[in-house]
Amino acid sequence: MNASRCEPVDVDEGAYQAYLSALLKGDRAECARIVEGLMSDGTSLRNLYIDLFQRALYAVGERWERQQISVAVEHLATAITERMLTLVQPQVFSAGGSRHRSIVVACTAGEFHQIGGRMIADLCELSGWRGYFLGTDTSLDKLLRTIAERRPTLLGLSLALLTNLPSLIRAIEAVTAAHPRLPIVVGGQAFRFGGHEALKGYPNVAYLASFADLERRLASFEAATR
Amino acid sequence: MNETASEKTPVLMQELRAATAPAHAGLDGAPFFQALSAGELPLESYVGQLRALSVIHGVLEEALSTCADARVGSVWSDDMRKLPLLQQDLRHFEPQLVKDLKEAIVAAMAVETDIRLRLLERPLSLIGYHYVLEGSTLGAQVLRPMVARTFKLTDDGLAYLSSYGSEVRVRWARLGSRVNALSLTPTERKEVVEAAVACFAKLAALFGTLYPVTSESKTLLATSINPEAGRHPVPDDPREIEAAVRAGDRCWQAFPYCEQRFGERGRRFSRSDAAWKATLYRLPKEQILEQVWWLGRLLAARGLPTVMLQVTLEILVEELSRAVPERSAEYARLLRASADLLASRRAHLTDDQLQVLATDFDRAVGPSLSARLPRTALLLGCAVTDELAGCEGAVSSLRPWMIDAARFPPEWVAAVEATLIRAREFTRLNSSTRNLP
Repeated sequence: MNASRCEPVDVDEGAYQAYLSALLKGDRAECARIVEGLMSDGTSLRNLYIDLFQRALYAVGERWERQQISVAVEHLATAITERMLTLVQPQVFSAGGSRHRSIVVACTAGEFHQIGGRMIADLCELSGWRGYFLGTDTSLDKLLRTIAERRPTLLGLSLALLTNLPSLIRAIEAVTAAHPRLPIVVGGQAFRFGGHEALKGYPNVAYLASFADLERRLASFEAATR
Repeated sequence: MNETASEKTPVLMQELRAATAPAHAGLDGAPFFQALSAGELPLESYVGQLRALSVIHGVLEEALSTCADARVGSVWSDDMRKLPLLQQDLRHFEPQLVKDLKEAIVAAMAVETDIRLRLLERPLSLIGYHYVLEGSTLGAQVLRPMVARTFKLTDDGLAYLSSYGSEVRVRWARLGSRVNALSLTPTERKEVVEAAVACFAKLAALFGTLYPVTSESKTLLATSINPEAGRHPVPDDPREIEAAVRAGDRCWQAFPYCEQRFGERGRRFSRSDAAWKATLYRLPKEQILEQVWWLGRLLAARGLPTVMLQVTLEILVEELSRAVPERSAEYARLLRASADLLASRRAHLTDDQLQVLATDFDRAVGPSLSARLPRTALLLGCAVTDELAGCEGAVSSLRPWMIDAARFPPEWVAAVEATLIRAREFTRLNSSTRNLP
């Protein structure tokens, strides 16, 4: 019997290692099989995102940096992860929650790495928020237009490469000028060696180091309402 | 029942042609080709096409040439490669620094991903892609005069469209014979045909992004400099990009090892990497250091000791300051990072010790070999200090190439080994001296 329907289970180390191995081999079918198996065993989508997808992508990135895998394998692993996100997305959007609050998530102009931003938008959906993900390389015009149209509770900006920091700062300044009361959260791999000090001059901007930080931030909105 | 194609089935080339006919006609009617025919195609669109096709051919040709299935090998030969021709054409347009079309790069990357996945999951289906892209040599005969007229080209810049010269029909017929001779199950055959149709659809999407273009689409991306560079930032100011390209070339020339080890492809990366470095001055100073060391570790693990990064940064600041003098003070912030790399090396190996290594090395290998690969002892010594500074794989990524007996004579190999041993001795000596009370 599958007893874990009520209590979400963790991603065990064996499943993670098997997934990582399949990812490094570019074996999309095996990755999908593992993901489906974990879901049917009762693993929560949140745990899948954080303990499987994110952890494996970090491991792939580290291997590429150390020249243990080629850039081709790294690209393929990213492509496969995107497909895994698509695989689980129906469940993401059928997750419960009021959807009264919303977040617009974007990668600013010049930023072409979207997977982190996409995962943030999905995790917000899992927390009962409506997540609007604008994709990569979002122009300032498009960002401002979407905020004006959607009137989100929160804006999330994802940064993968620190060299795109000037573009992020430009976006923060333009959004703050147009929507001074809109809180902004910023995160991403760009800040893994620091750099978020550059955000300190913006009181409406919060740096989030992890998905757990994001969840706490979302929960603070709920608490404020109660 | 045995899953083998029956005799009644049309030959595969006929089936491919019939299945792809609507998509082929659709692509032929794309606005891109209409504008080309009218002599109105912008240069960004044409160069964008060459860049996108470089990405696609690069990955497809690698896949076809390494595929384990002998049937794929039977329809492929190295003389079918188009990537060198595309690169030749891109070199012709290089001095004009043509902007990239963002959407075209995204579309080309989508094709690249599809090819990589097919290689893993349905490698035979790549024959469908090959069929479509080889077929484009026929269309190239029609396009060549249009391109020549529109962009006022004679021969330079037309290598890709001149592929196979007068042999196009003969080569196409030969490919047809090979494809028709393939022994495929109905499922495999279906996959080949499906891939050809999918390839046309992806090309249609790609050409849709190439023309018409909006001014918002035009931008300077890393791929403007190096089609294989991916999607990292480069400066917005064309003067800075030109300066970075010059700096990349100068560093390339300063270390002939790069040319000999990494060839033309490495030179392109030297340029696009320099353009990325040229964006760093805009960061907070601590972050400049972090980013430079991150890249230093990355390159050191790939056989490029950090001394090369140090030299590139110094040259880069010089070139940037010359190109945009009003920002000289800002560019100079990069010099702190190059000084940090130098200080890290000197903490383990002094300049005098490096000089000893260089003198001994040159003496051991003789003037002729020394001239063939100058500054080798510097690279070896720096690889040793990089490892001590935490750059994993700095020596192990350099040593195997340097001691390859197929490339170098025994006296060279012996001198490399001796230099590495001596450099390690020096660093141990320096460390123990430092630790004296």
